[in-house]
Amino acid sequence: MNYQDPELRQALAAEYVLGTLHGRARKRFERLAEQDARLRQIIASWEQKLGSLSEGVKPVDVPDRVWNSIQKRLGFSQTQPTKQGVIATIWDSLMLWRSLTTVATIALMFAAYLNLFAPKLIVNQYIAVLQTEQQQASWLIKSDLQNKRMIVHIVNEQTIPIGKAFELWMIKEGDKPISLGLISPDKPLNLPLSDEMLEKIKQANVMAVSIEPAGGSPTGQPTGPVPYTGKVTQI
Amino acid sequence: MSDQLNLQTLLAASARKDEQAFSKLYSLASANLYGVALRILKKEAAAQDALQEAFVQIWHRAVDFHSDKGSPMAWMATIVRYRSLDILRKQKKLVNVEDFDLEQVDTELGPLGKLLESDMAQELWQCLQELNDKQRSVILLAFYEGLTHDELAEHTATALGTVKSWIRRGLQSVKGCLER
Repeated sequence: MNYQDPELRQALAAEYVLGTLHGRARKRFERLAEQDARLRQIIASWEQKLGSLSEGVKPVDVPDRVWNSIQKRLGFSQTQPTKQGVIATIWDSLMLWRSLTTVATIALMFAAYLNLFAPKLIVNQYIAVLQTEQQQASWLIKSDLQNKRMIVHIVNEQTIPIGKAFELWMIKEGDKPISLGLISPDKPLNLPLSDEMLEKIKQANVMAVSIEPAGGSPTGQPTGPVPYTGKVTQI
Repeated sequence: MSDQLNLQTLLAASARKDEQAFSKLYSLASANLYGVALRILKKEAAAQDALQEAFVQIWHRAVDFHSDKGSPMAWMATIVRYRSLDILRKQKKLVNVEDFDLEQVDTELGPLGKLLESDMAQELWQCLQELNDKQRSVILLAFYEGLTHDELAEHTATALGTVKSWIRRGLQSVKGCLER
């Protein structure tokens, strides 16, 4: 084979990255690349292109022993495994990648707005404004500790695919999400809250809505996309 | 969104042998990367081996990562895929190709998939949509499930040469599309 043929170099690099170049041909190609900086660039360019396909792969919880083994092999001073996995990923993405201040400000504005129409002085409420990634508010979740009710206000009506349902979750950092049940895309709700749930809401940092099969998550944990999230704020 | 930036910062700190940063990097990226290994290897023990090997390599090679090499996630996932493919091919066992349905290649994103996606991933998905169904399916099956030409041919009941040309032409079109 003429390894200088530009088209062949592209084709081999692409299939090397895809993984369909295998066995002896793969080994041979690797040896060739070791000697050929330009070829390594072509490979890197394909790695960049195709590698991005991995970004959206569904995360799966990794057992702690994997990190322990890695630490041992690298000779790290053994530390407690950091929080890991799908839930931690959701948490980190919320904490690190979103402007929570904006959300909190909007939440307070909404609270003030709602209180104008509530003659009684309302205290001890926890609210969360659920927003899309584009920061469009969808629901306002108000947990009234005094009256032990959770009120779901519709801010903007959402649409949901047939056969799917919106499920509301509260998340405390480091813990698994707790389901607060299904919520409607277009109808406000007013539900009683048990003392146990009230306690949990007090500790929750974030609320989120996932898209689940009709009837709710089959596993008790979010299984579908999580398009709406919001920080829990006490007012 | 600064997710990629955040991973970049952690990779850069790992290159300076900051163990804390590496631990954080692991906690952010491992679940996603484990998902990548698990799809190729199907078996948890093997996928965990691949993940472990890959992270040892990521630690040693973090210094090689530059943002011009694409997204940090794509860079790390490539290392995970290569380790997974090595293990898969060593097993010398044909994957049970019955498990895959060409018409239903699972390209569904995880709960935060969309959030995690880089611009490159979005452009690439658009370009993949321009391929015909067969070209796209064999490329995605090879990428996500680690199938070889032979396995793809067997699975699609298509001549080996045809499968090879679907892949070659498909990849050429993707490259052309991305360069437009």
